[in-house]
Amino acid sequence: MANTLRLYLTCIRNTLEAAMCLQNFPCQEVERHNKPEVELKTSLELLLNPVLICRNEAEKCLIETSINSIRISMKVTICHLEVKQADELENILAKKFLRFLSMRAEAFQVLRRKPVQGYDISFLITNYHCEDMHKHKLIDFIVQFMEDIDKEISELKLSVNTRGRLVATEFLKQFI
Amino acid sequence: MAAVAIHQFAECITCHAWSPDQSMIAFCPNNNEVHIYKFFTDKWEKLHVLSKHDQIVSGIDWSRSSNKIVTVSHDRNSYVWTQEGSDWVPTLVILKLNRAALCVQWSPKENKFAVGSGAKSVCICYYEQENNWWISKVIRKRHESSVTSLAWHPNNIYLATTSTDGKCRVFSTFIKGVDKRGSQSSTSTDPKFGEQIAQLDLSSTWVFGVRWSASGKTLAYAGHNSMIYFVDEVESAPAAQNLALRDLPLRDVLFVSERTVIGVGFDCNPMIFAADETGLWSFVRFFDERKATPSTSKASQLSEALGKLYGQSKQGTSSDSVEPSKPRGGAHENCITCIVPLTKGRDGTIKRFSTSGLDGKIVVWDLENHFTIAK
Amino acid sequence: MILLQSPSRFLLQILQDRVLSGEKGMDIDCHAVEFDDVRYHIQLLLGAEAAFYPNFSMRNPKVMVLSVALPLPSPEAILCDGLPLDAIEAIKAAYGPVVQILDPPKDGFDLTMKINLTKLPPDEEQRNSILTQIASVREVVLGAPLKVLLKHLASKTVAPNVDKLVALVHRPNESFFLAPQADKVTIVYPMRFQDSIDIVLATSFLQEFVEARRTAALNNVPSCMWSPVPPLELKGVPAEALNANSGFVTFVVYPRHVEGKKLDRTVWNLLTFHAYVSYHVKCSEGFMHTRMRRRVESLIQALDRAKSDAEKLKKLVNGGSFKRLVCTLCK
Repeated sequence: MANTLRLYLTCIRNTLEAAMCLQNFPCQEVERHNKPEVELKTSLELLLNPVLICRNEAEKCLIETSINSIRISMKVTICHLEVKQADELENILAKKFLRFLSMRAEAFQVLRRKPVQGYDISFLITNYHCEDMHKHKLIDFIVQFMEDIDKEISELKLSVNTRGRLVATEFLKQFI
Repeated sequence: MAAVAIHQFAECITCHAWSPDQSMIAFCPNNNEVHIYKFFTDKWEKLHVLSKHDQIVSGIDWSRSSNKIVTVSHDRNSYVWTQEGSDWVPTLVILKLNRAALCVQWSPKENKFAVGSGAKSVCICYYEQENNWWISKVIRKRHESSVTSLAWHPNNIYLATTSTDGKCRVFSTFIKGVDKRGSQSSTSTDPKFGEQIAQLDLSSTWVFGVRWSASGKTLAYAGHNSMIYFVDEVESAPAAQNLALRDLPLRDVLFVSERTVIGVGFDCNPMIFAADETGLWSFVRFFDERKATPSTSKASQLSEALGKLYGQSKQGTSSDSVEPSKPRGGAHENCITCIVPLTKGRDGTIKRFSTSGLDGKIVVWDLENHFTIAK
Repeated sequence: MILLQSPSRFLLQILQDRVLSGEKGMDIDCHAVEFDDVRYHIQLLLGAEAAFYPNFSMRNPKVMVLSVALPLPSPEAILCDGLPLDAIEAIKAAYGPVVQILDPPKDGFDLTMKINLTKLPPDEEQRNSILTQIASVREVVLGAPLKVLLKHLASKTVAPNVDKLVALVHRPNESFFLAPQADKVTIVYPMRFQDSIDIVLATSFLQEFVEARRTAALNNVPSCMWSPVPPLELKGVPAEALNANSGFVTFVVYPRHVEGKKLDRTVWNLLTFHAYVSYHVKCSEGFMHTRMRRRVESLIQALDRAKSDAEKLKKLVNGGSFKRLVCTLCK
């Protein structure tokens, strides 16, 4: 499991490395505007082909690139219809954590307030972010973010199970 | 050392240009101003701030013989600055553009300058003595997207452009009354203003940073697909060479001789390209020494193997997580966006050049030590 | 604190303070809600306000009035005068002359009791034990029918006039079910939670009960089962009482679990099973929040590392926190 995660993240890292080549680019459609082309999508020639990286059916990462901005969207939860009982805990923990993060988008700057449709969380990185920040560290951040989400969810799940066991044992001990 | 001087002028620099005697430098610190610094014996001092634009300045060119600075900005305007006494006096040039201006360059004779724009057009501006006014003539409906860079052919007539529509084009900018008939050697009839001489459709994506060699025989430009294109005999029988890079795409190129090109871009480290006796271009090396880090990668492989040996009991330690990316480049820490020639040798080849980028540094590079390697 | 304690700390504190403060008195009028289902109202009125309650004849610093509102019973639960079966008897037995039940109870409450502190035994230990009993009024009142049924189990009989399946109130509009037999009592809890995350966490907790029961150390405790659908014991129960979103938990209690002193503890534990699970679900969520907040902080640090030094400096100078500090100083 850890190994497939590493491959997945390495693939994302390498893709970001190549894709995050952004530059200041003023809007071609509206006078005196300068907006992330990946969000506007008004000039098709300013968009590159999106890249989709999948770890498994549930977990995937969509990287959409334009001349002045890049959008990275992640899916970590399974669609509700196919959830098995055992996965539901993981699913709801993931959702809770991601919502928690989204509500703090302000602090993260590169986090998109609303994820792209069909995904759980999205980043929007513009040329301005690349001017203020070191690209390789920005990529480190994205990868650490993904790694942390994975780690946090499994640790949360473990803590819930451990606590559940303790709670149950203490209760049942009362009957001895 | 290849980099002979590194100076941190700002947090981020969009473009820069040198005064004719190279004692002064003008650059845009990623805002609506142009700063002019002069070198006094041991340090750089800020002399002027040209603040007439109201959006980011995207292009600066300082003419060699007439000592005029032309600036263009995303605010759609252009100013020609002339030095009167100790002050720089601006003259507004109405570009007749309704979108941002992206790049600017004086023609070799300095009687014209060209502006590329986000309005998918190119302006050729010239001075009209009678009206004391800069006139802009626009080449419209030729580009399908923004014009990202321009280069004047040494004949002062041909202008090469690159665009985000992926094409490189060459136009005639012959303007009656400004250019003299028969100034070109090759053709008998002069093409009219705005006539397209060539259209090169080599790249699948955006192209940037076009330059002519000193003789005008070779044209080079870079594609965002990490390609660099060399085209000979553009006007008559174009012969193109496409060179794919192993590294990140380039933003700008510079001919330092007929057979040597320096490319700069997202790799933060200038690359040297050279043509052999048969005219075949190839990548030679990075200009700045890369800090080799084979030892660390070996160590992580080893610890990985050890982890396996111990039944992966070491999981969760730092050796197990994804290796952090390595910073690129050396002298520059972020994307290089601009490369400008400096000292010329007696044979017309360039001995020094300067680069600027998003890290706010201006770096001067010396070529002398590198020619032996290039050959 | 892992286990829930039977005496209400809130009531116990007030009663003990009252006993210690002697003849001098001051008005007390306190409300409290416990586990989101039981409401307490304890009063000691000496001043003008006492006039509003003429039939309670208070104005005595040693007489307090305690009113208890029980969870709204669901239709299937059997009650007697608005109180669980045998509750009156249980109160009388537990408190003796110290407590007098007032009828009718105060508006909005199910039970009102006058507590006469002068009738407390003089011995401190005995007195504290009575006060603790009064503070455990929930256990005494709500647990009364359960205690009767389990007492019979201890003597391996079935109480007379008892249905095959008994519904007992434990939450507003919710009951749990007992199937009493001479040698065992089967107890089924339909588990309901409101929040979607509560449901998932509780469900995983409940499955841990089943797992924990399987360990060798807990071989002798009541057997425990969990199922997402109603177990067979609940056959014939109206459908609205069976819409449990966290499944059904079944405990089978044998005489050995209720013999002697164990009886009270078992009654309390079974009575507050839902509250116990719910309490730990909330604790878990609180813990998760702390964790997540810490994770966010570390991620923000990772992002800050990406910023160039100049950017960091700029942030420091124009930082909001600095400005805010200046503002507060000016004030």
